[in-house]
Amino acid sequence: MFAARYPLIMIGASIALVAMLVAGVFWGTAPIPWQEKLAVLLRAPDAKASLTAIIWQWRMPRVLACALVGAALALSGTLIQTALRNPLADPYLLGLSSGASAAAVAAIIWLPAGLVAAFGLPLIAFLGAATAFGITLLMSYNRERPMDRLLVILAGVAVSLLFQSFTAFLLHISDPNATKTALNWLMGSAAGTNWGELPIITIATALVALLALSQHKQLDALLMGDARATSLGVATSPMKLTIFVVTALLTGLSVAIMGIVGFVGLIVPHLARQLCGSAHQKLIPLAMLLGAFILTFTDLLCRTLLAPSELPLAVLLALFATPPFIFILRQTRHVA
Amino acid sequence: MLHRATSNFGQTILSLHNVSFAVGPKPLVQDCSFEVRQGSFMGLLGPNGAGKSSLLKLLYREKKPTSGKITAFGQPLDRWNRKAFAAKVGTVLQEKAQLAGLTIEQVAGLGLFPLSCSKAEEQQRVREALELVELWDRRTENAGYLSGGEQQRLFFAQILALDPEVYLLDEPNNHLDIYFQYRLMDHIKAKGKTVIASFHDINLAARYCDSAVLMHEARMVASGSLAEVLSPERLKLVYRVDAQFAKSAIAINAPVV
Repeated sequence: MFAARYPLIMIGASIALVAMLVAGVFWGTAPIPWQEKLAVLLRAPDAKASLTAIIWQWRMPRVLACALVGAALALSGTLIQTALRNPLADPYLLGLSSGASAAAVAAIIWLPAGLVAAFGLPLIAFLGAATAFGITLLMSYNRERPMDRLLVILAGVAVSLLFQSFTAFLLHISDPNATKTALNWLMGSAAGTNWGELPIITIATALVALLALSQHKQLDALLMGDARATSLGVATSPMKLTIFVVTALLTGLSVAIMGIVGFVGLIVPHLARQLCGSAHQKLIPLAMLLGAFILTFTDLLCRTLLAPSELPLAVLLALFATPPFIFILRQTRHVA
Repeated sequence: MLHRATSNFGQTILSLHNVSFAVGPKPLVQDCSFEVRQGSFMGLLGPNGAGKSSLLKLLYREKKPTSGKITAFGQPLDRWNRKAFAAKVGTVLQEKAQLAGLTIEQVAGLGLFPLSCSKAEEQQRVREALELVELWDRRTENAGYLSGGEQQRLFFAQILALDPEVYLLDEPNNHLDIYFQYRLMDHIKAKGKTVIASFHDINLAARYCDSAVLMHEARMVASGSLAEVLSPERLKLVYRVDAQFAKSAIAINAPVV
């Protein structure tokens, strides 16, 4: 099962991702002739300054951010589905998205624009996510059942509901302009990403991926259930806590850059498992490649389909998530 | 009071001293003390809910005792490094697992997690274990599609590949057909390793155990040789069965003892 075709799948996914990155950089609202694209990309001295700006200052960081956030969310989703052994778990389950949303919407609506700009919406969103995560962990704390997956899930749901109610209230009382800005943020967008936002998430994603790969056997053992993993010598509670923390970190960073990007962390790990199985040594790299590909692709469609206006990422992501979900549902029905 | 489980074997490698374990107000194991000697095959007997599985959970460190002391290989249990301990004490647990997406070979290989050995040795061990449980020819199949009994064989392959000093088996014959029940238990018995196994089936216990601990409502009610432990009065008290019938059942099925 899976073993023979894995290298082919990885090569295919890598090529697809590179092609998508190139397409993302070259393709867009502003039409740029081919020769000029190459000149700009190579930073030739005769390239037009305006085109150079579009490609280097605008599209390049945006495309890379999509790839990074896609990979980070797919990695987070893979890890959290393993930790909670729940196919419906996604990185937002720990209350992260609702915490980030409430903080960001509160900032957009209440704080003066200047202050938000000074602080940075990303930082505010990240702090919101971290707060919600902290509350979830505290609520699920139980000495006799440490890191119990059901308790964590239920606590996450409770925290999400609380913050969602708060967000809904804020949207209801705010003026239409602020609501529009807030809704844009809530539906996720890669527009306006700049180079400065990339280094931290790059480093964080790389470190978490390396850490996860170095523990791939422990992660596999976790799939058999906590008791079996424990009896094999895996320290399950510290391991799950680590997974929750790194997931919160990567998801918080992603949310800070693009707002709420749903479904990638939920669906991509499932797609990757269908292709290469559940063994983490293979699953993690493939899920990250697919996540990067899918988000870059979605972003490209979002900014070209209705050009010059842009679709929020959530519109297409939710649409794309539907067929795989139905497929997984059918698969699961067969197994069960 | 310290019960001597048996005396014909090597040194004591595992001992429990007034061990209790409770979840909330409910005691699951109460005041258990016994010793296990190297090379002995000890049965944990008792009806459903007597506390057998909970006691085993304490031994493979899934749970910590609420009070009392467990010593393994001369060292308190909680001082053992988890992985080093798991390399010495292997388990086969009761509950089913979700294994979808892992191959049979990968799952068997996970049994070797506590061990550091070369790739070649790893493959050799996995192969021998899978051949024994007759799953080697299906090693590339998705373990998620195995039946209950096949999955149990796969978990036996994990512990056989590891071949630890102590085998902790929680209702090891669950889901297994008669052929594999005898085949796997015979194989483990022949190894001469230390085994602690919970059984709800007294006949099977009689065939394999040199000694037994009988549990009833979280307490240890007897320990010693099987004949001592399973007296007619105790059988009546603990299992609520007619002793005459039970005794004859043991006699028929206990040529080894």
